[in-house]
Amino acid sequence: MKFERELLKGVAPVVVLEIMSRGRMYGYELSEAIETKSQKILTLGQGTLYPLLYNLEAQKLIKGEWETAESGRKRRYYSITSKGKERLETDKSQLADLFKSLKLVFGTSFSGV
Amino acid sequence: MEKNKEFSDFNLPACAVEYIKLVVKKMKWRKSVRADVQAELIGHFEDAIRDCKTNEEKEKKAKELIENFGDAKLIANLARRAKKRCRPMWVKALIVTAQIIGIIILFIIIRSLPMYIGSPTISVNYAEWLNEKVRAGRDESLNAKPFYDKAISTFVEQPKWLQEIKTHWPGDFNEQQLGEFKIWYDKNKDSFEALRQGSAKPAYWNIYDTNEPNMLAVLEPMMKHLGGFRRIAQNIWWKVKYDIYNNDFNSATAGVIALIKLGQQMHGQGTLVEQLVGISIEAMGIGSIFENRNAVQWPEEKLREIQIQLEQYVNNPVITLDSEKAFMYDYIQQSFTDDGHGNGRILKKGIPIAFDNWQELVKDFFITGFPDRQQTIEKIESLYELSEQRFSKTLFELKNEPLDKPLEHSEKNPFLLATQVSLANKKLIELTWRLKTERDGQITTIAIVRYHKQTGKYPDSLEELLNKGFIKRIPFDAYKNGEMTYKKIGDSFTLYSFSNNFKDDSGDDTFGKWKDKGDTVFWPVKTK
Repeated sequence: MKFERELLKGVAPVVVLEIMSRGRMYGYELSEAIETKSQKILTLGQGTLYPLLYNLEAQKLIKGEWETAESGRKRRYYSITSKGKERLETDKSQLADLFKSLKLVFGTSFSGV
Repeated sequence: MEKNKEFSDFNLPACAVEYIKLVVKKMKWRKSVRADVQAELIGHFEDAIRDCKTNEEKEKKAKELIENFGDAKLIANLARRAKKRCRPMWVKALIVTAQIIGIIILFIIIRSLPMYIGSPTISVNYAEWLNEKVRAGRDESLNAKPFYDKAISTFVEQPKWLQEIKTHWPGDFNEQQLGEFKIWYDKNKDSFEALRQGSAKPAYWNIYDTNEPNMLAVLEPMMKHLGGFRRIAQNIWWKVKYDIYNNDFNSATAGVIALIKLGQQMHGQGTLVEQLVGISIEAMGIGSIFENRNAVQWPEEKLREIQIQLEQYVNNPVITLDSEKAFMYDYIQQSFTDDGHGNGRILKKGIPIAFDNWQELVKDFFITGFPDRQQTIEKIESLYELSEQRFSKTLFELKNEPLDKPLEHSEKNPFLLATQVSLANKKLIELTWRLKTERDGQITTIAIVRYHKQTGKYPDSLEELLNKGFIKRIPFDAYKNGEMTYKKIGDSFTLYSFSNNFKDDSGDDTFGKWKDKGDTVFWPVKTK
């Protein structure tokens, strides 16, 4: 299932932060993780992934570091910062509230939460 | 570091290499940042095709990925923007500062540019205008100028010791000095005679060079010429002293009258510097009458001749600002464009006249915009109007007015308008009233001495002097705003002005003339 771009745009940073809160990751690994964890429902465009990561880095919510992987290749690993964790908690709480409100509006027809 | 390796080091399909190169190229950002992004994308593609067995599979997977990535230019733009946000705070601050400075510089250039574009239109020759003004339609034969020019060209410089000597009285010279003085005196006879002949003329007016490009250039050669006037005035001042010393009061009277008239002819018309020189020469002439040890020996009829000469100019203006206005108008003409309707835009040269100080210049530059030609003319006219209003008041009436306002005059002020107009406001008013009061004081002193010579006593009051026809009006003390102070003391008298402190210090002359302490005393006279 593909989401409208604008709908996904607001949620994408929370999703990235949430996945990254479980461990540091490099770009490709992250895109795979999003697909897997969301059972391919959330497919973040590959092209928007890196700009999104750079933006989160600019906001100091994640931190990128070049490291040598076991295979001997250098990769840029991203990990969530304490500021990122705080933001994640806030965003998650807001999302929960949003879903509650949506459920109230849509009633039983809104079964996503 | 791997991120700096070439593509050949990686096993990527050609389409992937081309795509990554395109993204990196389109980023148009710093080389190190592009290298980072390139390394990440290479890693991403490598990871994606890692499990592909054949080249065809790799090619197919890479194409899918490229499609998923989307437009290379868009990715490049998004990545560049995001990377820009990653810059450290100090870099961001530096960039913002540089941008602000850039904007300011651009603003300054745009704002200043019109000042360098365009040229003034010279439509009025103000030197010609001034020539007509000072000549006032009189015949050239009435002008004392040729005689004064001759006096200047023929005068012989004073011996050095005479320029430095403390005494003002030839009786204090030694034999050798007296001998040298006599030789110098004789050598100057032609100059003295030319000066006397000039002073016999009804008027003097200068002829300004109309070929000069502006009024400033007209003033320059004139300054040297004025130095000549000062010298012949100093020469004749010594001549008067020497004549009095020799009891030659006929010659001394001619000298005093020549000196006074030279000064009187120079002020009240022409340029401001000429008028200032005229004021100082008349004051020098006034001072030469009694400031010597043979003062009481002046014959009454000779004193009367001098008094008549002094009285001739009593109602004439000491200072006129016409030439100053002409100077300003000429400066405007030279430093503004002309739109043909009396207005125009300021050129670089106009800065000193359009502004009074740096604050005003900066404010107009950045906020309100520069004044145009018309606004500048209006400003100058209103300032001169204020000056003229002040000239009509006495110093006493002006004592609480800050005369150098609304413009501050200081040595460091580079703004012409402030320098010129504030000078007119303060110094000129002071000098005018000083001369007028000094002249009134001397006329009255002469009249009192004449009264004594005729009656053997001093008048009880100035009214008595007036009633008996020795003076035409009661002398005015501008520092008191009333009648000059006369006191009969035993077999003598005192006559004085309240001077700069506007207070009666009982004729205390300890501090000299026109000082902030004591009075300016016309009689008894201090001899030097």
